Amino acid sequence: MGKRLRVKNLDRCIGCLECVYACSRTNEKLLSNYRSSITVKASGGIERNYVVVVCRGCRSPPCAPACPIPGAIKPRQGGGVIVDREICDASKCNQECIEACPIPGAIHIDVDINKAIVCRQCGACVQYCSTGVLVMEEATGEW
Amino acid sequence: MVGELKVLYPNILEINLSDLSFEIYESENLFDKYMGGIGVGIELLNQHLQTGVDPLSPENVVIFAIGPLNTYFPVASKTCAVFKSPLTGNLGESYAGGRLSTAMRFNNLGVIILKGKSPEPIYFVSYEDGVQFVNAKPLMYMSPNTTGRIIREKIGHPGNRSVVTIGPAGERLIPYACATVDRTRHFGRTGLGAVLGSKNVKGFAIIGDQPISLESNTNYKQYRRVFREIYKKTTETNLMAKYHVLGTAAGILPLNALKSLPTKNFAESYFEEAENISGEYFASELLGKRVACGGCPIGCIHLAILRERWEKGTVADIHSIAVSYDYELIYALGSNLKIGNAKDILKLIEAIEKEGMDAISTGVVLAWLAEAYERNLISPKDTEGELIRFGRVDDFLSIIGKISKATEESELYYTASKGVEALVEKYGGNDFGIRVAKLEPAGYRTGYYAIMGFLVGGRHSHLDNAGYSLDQKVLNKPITFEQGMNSLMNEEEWRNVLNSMVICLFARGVYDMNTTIQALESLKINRTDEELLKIGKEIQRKRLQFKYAEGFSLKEAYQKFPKRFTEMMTAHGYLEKENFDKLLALYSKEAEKRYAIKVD
Ligand code: SF4
Ligand code: SF4
Ligand code: SF4
Ligand code: SF4
Repeated sequence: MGKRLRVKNLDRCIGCLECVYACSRTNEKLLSNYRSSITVKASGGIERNYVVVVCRGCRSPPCAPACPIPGAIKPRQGGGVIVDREICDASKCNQECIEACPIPGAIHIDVDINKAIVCRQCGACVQYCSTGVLVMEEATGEW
Repeated sequence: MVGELKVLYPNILEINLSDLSFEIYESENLFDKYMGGIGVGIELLNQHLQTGVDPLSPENVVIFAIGPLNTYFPVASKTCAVFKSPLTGNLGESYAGGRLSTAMRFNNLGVIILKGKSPEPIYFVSYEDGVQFVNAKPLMYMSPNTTGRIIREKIGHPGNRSVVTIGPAGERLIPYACATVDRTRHFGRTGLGAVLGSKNVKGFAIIGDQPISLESNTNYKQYRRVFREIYKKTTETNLMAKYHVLGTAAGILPLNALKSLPTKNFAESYFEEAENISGEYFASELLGKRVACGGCPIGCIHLAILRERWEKGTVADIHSIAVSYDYELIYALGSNLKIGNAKDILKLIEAIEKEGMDAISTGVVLAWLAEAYERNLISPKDTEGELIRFGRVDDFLSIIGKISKATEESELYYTASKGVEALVEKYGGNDFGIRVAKLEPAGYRTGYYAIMGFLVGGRHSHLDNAGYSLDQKVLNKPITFEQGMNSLMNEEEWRNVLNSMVICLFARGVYDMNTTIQALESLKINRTDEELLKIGKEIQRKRLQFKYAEGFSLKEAYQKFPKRFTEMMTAHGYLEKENFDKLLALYSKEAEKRYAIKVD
């Protein structure tokens, strides 16, 4: 069983963006702050905490069956989904996956390639989170 | 569009404020030759600035520059600002973190040049496709942070932006006004805030979203490997541990123990109450959270939570604010003012933050005022009835605003708003007028090299050449004066290289020569040791050339040394005038040899 990414200690986040860069560096071969599956935002003023927005790795993901294009997005063993970039095409659907996911921003459209971008549970970001906010864990529990 | 940017050679944005026009162009040659940061900055300053102009006139020029490593590598998180300083009258140079360098990177900007003067107060927003100028008259005299919040709300785009603002002090052209970056970082030293104020620039925002292709701009495999190595060195070795645990405030107790913590306007070097203002105390009692600059896994920015009861309020009439603290602020507003209460220091930091002044300079100005008051050099008439006493936080709190708002009618505060040099010229008290080459110094009474470092440094900052650190290193391993001065000069040249990259100097232990060369190589920039050292030396030559052309006199700055420098106890005992003479002679000889310019 694969592990999935968890935002375990959100309150510890220092807003360094290393996870964001790690994701785009490893998975997109890009240096980018938005072509990444993980986003870090301030939650209103630096005094408050940061928010890490990323897919929660559902074991029965509502985003996948909502997609009208067969094979574009499939549940992944161990939680979460895998987007097939050969098939996914955001211009040929109504972006139903985004609509179906209750977490705003967890899955979004990479406008440069017009495809859904979502965490593939690879764990690259975890290696670059110096504060232990992010961990890879075996999926347990109900979701 | 998938990013196929020429990132090794980002663009230059040149803004002419006088007619609110801008131009974006490329300049491969420049980045090729001078890397970025201070290397590119000093070259452009020389190109665009005429010698001898008034720093607060429209003719002054401000250059912001990032370098090749910014955003590509951990802790390469600073932006360099270069301009003519209204405080020192020569090289203005300052570095700030936050998210400015990443915003510039993702906007594909390597350099921003500001020229002229806007007819009305404005802020500007740099988007990827151009610049928008916004009327900032309704924001006049707002604090830097309120201004920043308003600009952020107006432009939206959370996450991928950086906002730089000035406060009332900058608008009133106080020569030690700072510019605040993303709420907690500052272009603190040498008066950038006043220069922006003189140009009617209340602030600016950079928004950047462009992805950068690592396949075309790096040797991808090597890049990832070098990234991992640097990341590991940064987080897993003890090279930077002190910065994330206690932050720079970790230095208070060790320096105090060494008899090197400036106390009571540098008259003393040991503060009995240091325990109560130590990094340890702040961390255990007041620290609320740590945050980081973009792309820095360290997170040295320590934010304390200050709970304040309203005047005459009940127990529930309370508000809390987050205040960032650092070693230099604790020295300047703590020990040097004999303030032994950590919360009081936070109150002073916050008051100065609101005005938008450099906290080090402000603290040293306050210390001079307290000593002059104690010695009756200034009278209650001069202070307009205010008491200015060491150890009394309320005294200082009530005059910070007076200094920031002073007009010529209130002579003392107006003079104080020009810095220690101006105070000494008007009222005397040179013996205890703590400044070197018109700049109020950082907090080190470690020995000869700290002070000589201030004097000969390109921007007279402790970070130019880290004399304070050399003093500590040679405590148990004495070296000759000649070796010492050489070591200072080598350090400054190497720092010029790092400041061209532009890494945070807290990571200087991580970015040794070999690591720096490898990082560059993975970005397809091939440089040898000798080439880098040559660039560092060449930059130093240009910085000095700029200073001397602007009329800097080493001799004069040296002659103005306050007597206190030879009367104070340091980690190396009392310092002697003859030794300073020797050090200066050694420096002049060596500098002339190295840089082929006359330093006097
Ligand atoms: S995108 Fe949303 S719905 Fe789909 S797996 Fe992730 S969290 Fe669950
Ligand atoms: S686990 Fe992998 S895909 Fe998911 S956010 Fe982290 S780096 Fe990106
Ligand atoms: S790497 Fe960790 S600490 Fe840094 S922004 Fe991401 S979650 Fe926060
Ligand atoms: S060490 Fe501190 S100042 Fe330097 S980049 Fe990191 S957070 Fe910013």
